[in-house]
Amino acid sequence: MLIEVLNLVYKYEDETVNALDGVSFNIDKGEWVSLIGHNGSGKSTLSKLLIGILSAKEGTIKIDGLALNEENIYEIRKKIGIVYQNPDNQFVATSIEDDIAFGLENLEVNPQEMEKKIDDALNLVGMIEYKYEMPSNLSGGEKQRAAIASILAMEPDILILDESTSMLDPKGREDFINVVKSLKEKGKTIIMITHNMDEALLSDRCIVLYNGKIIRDGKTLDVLLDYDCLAKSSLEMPTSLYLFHELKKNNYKNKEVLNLLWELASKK
Amino acid sequence: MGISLKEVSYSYNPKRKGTKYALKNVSLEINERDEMIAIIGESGSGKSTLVSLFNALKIPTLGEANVMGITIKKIRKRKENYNSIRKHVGLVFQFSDYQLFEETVLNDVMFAPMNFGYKKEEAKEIAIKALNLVGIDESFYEKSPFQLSGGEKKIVSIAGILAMEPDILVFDEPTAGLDPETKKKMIELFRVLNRDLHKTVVFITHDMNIVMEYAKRVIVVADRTIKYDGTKEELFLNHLDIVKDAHIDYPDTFIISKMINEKLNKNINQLLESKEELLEELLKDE
Repeated sequence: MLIEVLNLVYKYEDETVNALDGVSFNIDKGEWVSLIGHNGSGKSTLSKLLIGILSAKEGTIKIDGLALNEENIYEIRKKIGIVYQNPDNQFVATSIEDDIAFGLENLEVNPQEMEKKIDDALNLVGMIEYKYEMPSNLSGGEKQRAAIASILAMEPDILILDESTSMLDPKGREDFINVVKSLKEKGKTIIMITHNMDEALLSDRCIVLYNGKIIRDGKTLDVLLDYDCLAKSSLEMPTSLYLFHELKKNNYKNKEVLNLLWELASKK
Repeated sequence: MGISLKEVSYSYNPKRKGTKYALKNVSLEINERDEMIAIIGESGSGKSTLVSLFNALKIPTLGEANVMGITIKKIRKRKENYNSIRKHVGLVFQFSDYQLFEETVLNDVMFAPMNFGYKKEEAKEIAIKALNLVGIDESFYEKSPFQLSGGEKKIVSIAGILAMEPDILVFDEPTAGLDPETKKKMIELFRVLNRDLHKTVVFITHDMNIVMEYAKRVIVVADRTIKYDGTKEELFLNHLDIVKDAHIDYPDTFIISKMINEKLNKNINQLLESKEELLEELLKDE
């Protein structure tokens, strides 16, 4: 198991209830997992615990066999990268090249190797021609791809995408998702926090958080067809699955239409 | 009355040689009542520049804008005139939640009416009316805006604009980054403002499902100008080239019904406004 989470509990100082309340799950190498749930369900708290920005009150996290604690935190952070919602908040340098170099310098990568690592990461996200560009000159989608390149250069095994596409236009979103798909093919493990059910549909597995607890963890199509679970979490079914679900409920018989809707939902 | 743009172009630095226009040669008319308009197009196409002309936040570099009977031209000095425009046309920015600054929610929403010269008690009445409209109850009045969640902040910032009692409300990507529940609330609010209060609502969005279900008129902005201004039906059915060039998605209902029609040789209406309508149509067709 690449990620092992056991009985995780976290409470924010001013709050009376636990933000995470006994959360346990494992994630295998190469899985693409969506983390979904209503606002305040604990999704982002969980992602912050996974990269050690917050530390749990109770419970344990193991990444690649290493327990997440003060001693191991820097070793673990090399294995996990995170891309946030707002593309403007993640740049520290004045060119894309320098921004990627910043992360590598922190990892004490030697300068001879650095150039190649930067180019490789930019090629991977299709942004090599923007190497010397200022981040502020890029579109939202380009910024998010550059942000992911900065993370990729550090060669993490695990990528956490915390609503990374929610501020992008359809083209930017598509480009970004295509990069995620290619990373999945390269064997990276992806944890995607999203409100967009069409995006969740692309993952292998969905974990649903509700008031700090996992209320559902299963294959994506099974979870996204669970009407009660989604309704409880104020989430909507993707349109193709909604039609499939409702038609079946109404004893609709046309197999061809049902198959077509199913195909559409399960096509990645 | 309402908003009228005649051959308007806008440049951020018009005096520079070879200046590029953020918006080129745009003409349109918007009524001050009963319109529900979606403005769509890629990031960077000029949508936000366009709507900031609607309340004189930007002054045309070329051409002429007329808002609620007041002409906005380059030569005129920025004076009280434009203040009255902003009372009639409320603009809600994409990051409007960053603009909350008072100590309490109620004071924040009272700020605008106080600024427009209302006495404290009157301003409070107007603010409470606006907060009721957006569904923020009394328990929030004394909270600090900074205690609120992102979605709540956005809703409060909208109440702040409503408290100016504008005729036309313009929203720049109101649902981007919101969770599904807050998103739904927001769209329902638009419906109340438009259908019940007869306001004109203009919103920028990338979500074609919202466009299909709620917009009465669609304006497509691409390459820094208006490429289309008309009904959504006409756009999605007959202007494939515009949709493609502007990198616009099709609504889910359109994609699904089109696929069923093509693959199974059926004749389902592709222009149904919601998934519920499509469901009904499929059940009828069986």
